[in-house]
Amino acid sequence: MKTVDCCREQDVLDALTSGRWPERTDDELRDHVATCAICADVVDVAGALLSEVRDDEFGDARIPSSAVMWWRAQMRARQEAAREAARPITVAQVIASLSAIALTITAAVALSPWFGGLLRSWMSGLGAAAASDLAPSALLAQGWMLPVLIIAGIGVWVVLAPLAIYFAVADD
Amino acid sequence: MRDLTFSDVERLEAAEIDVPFEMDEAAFRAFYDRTARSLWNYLSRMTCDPHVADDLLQESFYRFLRTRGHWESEAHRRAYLFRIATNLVRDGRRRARRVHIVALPEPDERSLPAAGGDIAEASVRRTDLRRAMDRLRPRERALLWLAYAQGHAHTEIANTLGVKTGSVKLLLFRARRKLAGLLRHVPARTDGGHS
Repeated sequence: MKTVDCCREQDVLDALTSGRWPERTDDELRDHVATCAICADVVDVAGALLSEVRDDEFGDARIPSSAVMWWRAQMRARQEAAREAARPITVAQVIASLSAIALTITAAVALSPWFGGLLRSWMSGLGAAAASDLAPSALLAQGWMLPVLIIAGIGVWVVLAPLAIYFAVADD
Repeated sequence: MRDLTFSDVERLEAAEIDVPFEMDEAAFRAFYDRTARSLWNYLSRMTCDPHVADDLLQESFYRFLRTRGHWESEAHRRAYLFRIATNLVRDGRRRARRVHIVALPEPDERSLPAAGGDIAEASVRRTDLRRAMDRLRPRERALLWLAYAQGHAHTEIANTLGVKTGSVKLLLFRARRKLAGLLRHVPARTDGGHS
């Protein structure tokens, strides 16, 4: 089985981290490193990485202070908590708005003679163009169109409501 | 998430919203002061981009604060923080497909001999190391950095990288072998001869 470590590895690492390698290290350890492939790799790799740390080319990098980091975390957590708390209210508002719109349209269609007349004339225009036995004007005359319109309105509302709720409460 | 505006900050500061963090301010600040620099160094080496390291540092500490965990020791807690950071780097890498491996400007090697012996030599050595590290897998880079630059114990490395403690020795051996080979076979540089 291939050996992946050496019993002197830690000694070599200690010498490197304490800055004793190679001048202030005893000859016996230096001789060992010269004959041990594992320890030679440790010297090359750990030596290069420790030099990188000592040189610390990013030493002047500005890291936020702990006070700033704490404050930012507090603000962000509060923001998330506020958004979470407002989510049911937003959903209720959206549902209420959509219900109000649907009810208004339904009531207008059902109760307003003026709106009904307007719709009837518009539909008969369409019916004339279509020249069909089941033209909207004929349907209106038969009293079928009103329930059809109401059902269509509710259908549109059912389709749009989840979308509206999604867009209202989705994260940025 | 969008940035906070001044009015947001005023509103949030005034709001009496209870934000329960697992740590209190004093404990967090002490922990931050002990770990932030080494975590930033780790992140900057893993991403090779100091600006990304800034963002990930903040995100790591925030997620750490939001976690409800019980840590057996300081080393365990630090390993958990580094694990969050490692996962963030990994996620970022998945999203970007490839992190900018050499985002930092490399020194102009022609100017190095004139810059003075030690400084020039250190810059060249650093460039060689960076090039060699770039050729390692992200996990190999993390292993070597944590083990040798930051002196983490094998258990801590295992917790950070999500591998078995028993595997660390072998993984470290392979990564070390690879990096040592790369460092010994750095392409020869021209001496330049600039005066």
